[in-house]
Amino acid sequence: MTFVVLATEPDDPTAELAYDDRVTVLDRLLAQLAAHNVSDVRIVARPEAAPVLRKNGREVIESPDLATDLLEIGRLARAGRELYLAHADLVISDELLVRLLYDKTTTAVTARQPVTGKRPAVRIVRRRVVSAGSPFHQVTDPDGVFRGALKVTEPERLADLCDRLTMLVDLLPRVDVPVRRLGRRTAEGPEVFVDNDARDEFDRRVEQDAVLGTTAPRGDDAAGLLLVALARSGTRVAARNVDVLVCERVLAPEQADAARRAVEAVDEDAVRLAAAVKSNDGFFTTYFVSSYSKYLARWAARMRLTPNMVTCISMAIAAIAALWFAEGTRTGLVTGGILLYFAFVFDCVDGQVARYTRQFSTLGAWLDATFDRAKEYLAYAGLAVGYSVTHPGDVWGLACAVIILQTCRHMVDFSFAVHKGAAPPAPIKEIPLDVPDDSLLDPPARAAAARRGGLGMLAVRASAALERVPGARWAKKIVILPIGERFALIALTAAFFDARVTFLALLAWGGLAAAYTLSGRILRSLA
Amino acid sequence: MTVETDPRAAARTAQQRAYRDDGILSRSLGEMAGGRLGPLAPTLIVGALTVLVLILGASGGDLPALLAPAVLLTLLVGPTSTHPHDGRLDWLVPPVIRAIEYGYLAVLGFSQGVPRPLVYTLLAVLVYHHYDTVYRTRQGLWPPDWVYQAGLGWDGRMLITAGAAMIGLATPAYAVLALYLGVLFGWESVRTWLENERGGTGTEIDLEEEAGA
Repeated sequence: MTFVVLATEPDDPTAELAYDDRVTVLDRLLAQLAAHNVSDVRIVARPEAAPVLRKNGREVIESPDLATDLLEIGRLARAGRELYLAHADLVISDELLVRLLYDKTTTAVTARQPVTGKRPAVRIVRRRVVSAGSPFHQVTDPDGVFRGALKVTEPERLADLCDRLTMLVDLLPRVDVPVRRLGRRTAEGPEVFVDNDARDEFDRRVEQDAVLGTTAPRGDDAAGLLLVALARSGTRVAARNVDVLVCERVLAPEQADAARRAVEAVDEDAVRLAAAVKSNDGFFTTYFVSSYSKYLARWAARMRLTPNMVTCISMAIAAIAALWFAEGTRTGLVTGGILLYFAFVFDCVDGQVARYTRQFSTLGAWLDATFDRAKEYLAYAGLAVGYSVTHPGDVWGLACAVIILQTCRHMVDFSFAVHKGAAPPAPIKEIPLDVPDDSLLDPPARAAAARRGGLGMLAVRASAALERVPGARWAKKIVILPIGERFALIALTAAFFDARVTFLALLAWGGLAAAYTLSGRILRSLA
Repeated sequence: MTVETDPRAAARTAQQRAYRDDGILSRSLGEMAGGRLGPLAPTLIVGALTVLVLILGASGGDLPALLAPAVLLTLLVGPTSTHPHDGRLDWLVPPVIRAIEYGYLAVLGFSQGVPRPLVYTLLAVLVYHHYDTVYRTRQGLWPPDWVYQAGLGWDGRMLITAGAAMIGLATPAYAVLALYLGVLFGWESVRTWLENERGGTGTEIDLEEEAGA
């Protein structure tokens, strides 16, 4: 990978502002990159700033103007490695930098916040930058800003865009008004509210700092311009929200101070740990497991346990639980129930360790999923054995019914997931770079496309409407009997009653869940 | 065969076919039909008939009735195995085939006096195989085709158990199948695990996205 640092503010380089007593802003950025083994760092600087930067022993590519910046970036992109662009005066939280380094697609660091004109405006739809602003490009109804760090995983396309822009940039007219407001929320289909993640992200929008982001940069912004070019060329640019982390250009000494304070105010380890917890888990998992399992995950990471080891621990606990279930006595059932709960806790922990330590493996993903099923079906077998031991009859018939129902429910999920991928992704509209505004994004609504009728759409709409009822989100998740609820149901009914009650409860709840999901999906498929 | 132009569509078809888990017989019938027969209607019809026949047959212990679903499913749903499964509701086909297969094996086993834990064991082995198919293909780790053939497919398994039940050998058939398939699928999985222990960036599939994960 190549990391291009842009020192293109005129006069005194803002990159050399003091971050703290020891290092400058650029020192800090370069040290961060070195710490993450980013070795190919190129600094593109204005000739007047170059001597200052060189004085500190850095290699600098001199570039007198924006066109040359683009030319140089294009040249570096031609090397064919993924390319990062950031301003030399950028103060970025380490955690955010790492997230960007791990992102797999072209990504811009953005923030959902009011647009003041001091930072490039962007319009974000479903975590994708659909339009971006520059001195030459207007944005319609922006809902966020670009924070000055960009990752491009398609270097060839970037190189082509650089070539185009190099020739074009001096001819582009400046726009008088950077933002065009139509005052409507765009793309507000019923699906928008079904996407809980997007809504969570929207809720976590960042507060505007009193000092940061209050000065407009005076120099050129090749990164911002290339973001415009990427978004307009039909490239999928993911919007990585800053979350509670810091990513700010600092253009004055007091801003460097404020940025340092902002960085230090965030407990990045806690943020990373919080992000290791999946945001859209079920009710039981969220309130009875994830509330504390992340600390177990951190402990496991410090003990240098790999996610796969945690998966195996979880499997072992579940196997012991099944043995206790197989004993059939009250003690056995209660002990088994408790152990099964902890097997589930560790099942959550393995994924959290993987996300916290950023160790993802094909084998891990596969093992985790397979062992989840093995744990559950082993527990069924244990329960059925235990029942035969202590009762005259047996419940193997019920056990078979439960395993069939549960597996078929999953198979419906799997097949439907394949089918759902059938809808081709909506093509990304392209807008020429020499058109100042982005009005091509919002064609006037056609009457025919406005409303689709039918029972299917009714179901889609009803589902979306339900999302807005408080508590309905949880109810919808609980009714489908997700894994957390299922393990809790098994543990509790086994501990307090017996295997027969467990299986009957699983059949009743699972049957309801199957009816609910099947009917919903059939209607959606017909929509 | 229909000509697939879109690679994504071809991948989806391959996935749904792997989820179906057809055996040799079903596949040859499918080749003959040339992928023109839509899978949804036959699958649903056989599903309904299976429920009926099993209720009637299991209560009376009537063997020909118990043979019927296996033959019906093979004859009616087998020929659809080469269909691209791109209809709006074709995603229902693999889970319904699973429901028929599992339900059939359970009812047949119970009615023929196969030890009940053994029935559960055979189901667990099959369930393992079907989950494994999903989880590994999602990671791009496709099992070799001989595994599917050696696994007999739903048609093979149903016909073998039905045939064994006809000659009064249901219990040995269940035991041998459970052992053979358990070793086959288990060994194949472990082999692939060990091969893939190193490398690869696992795609994290969000299981909660799926209803009951």
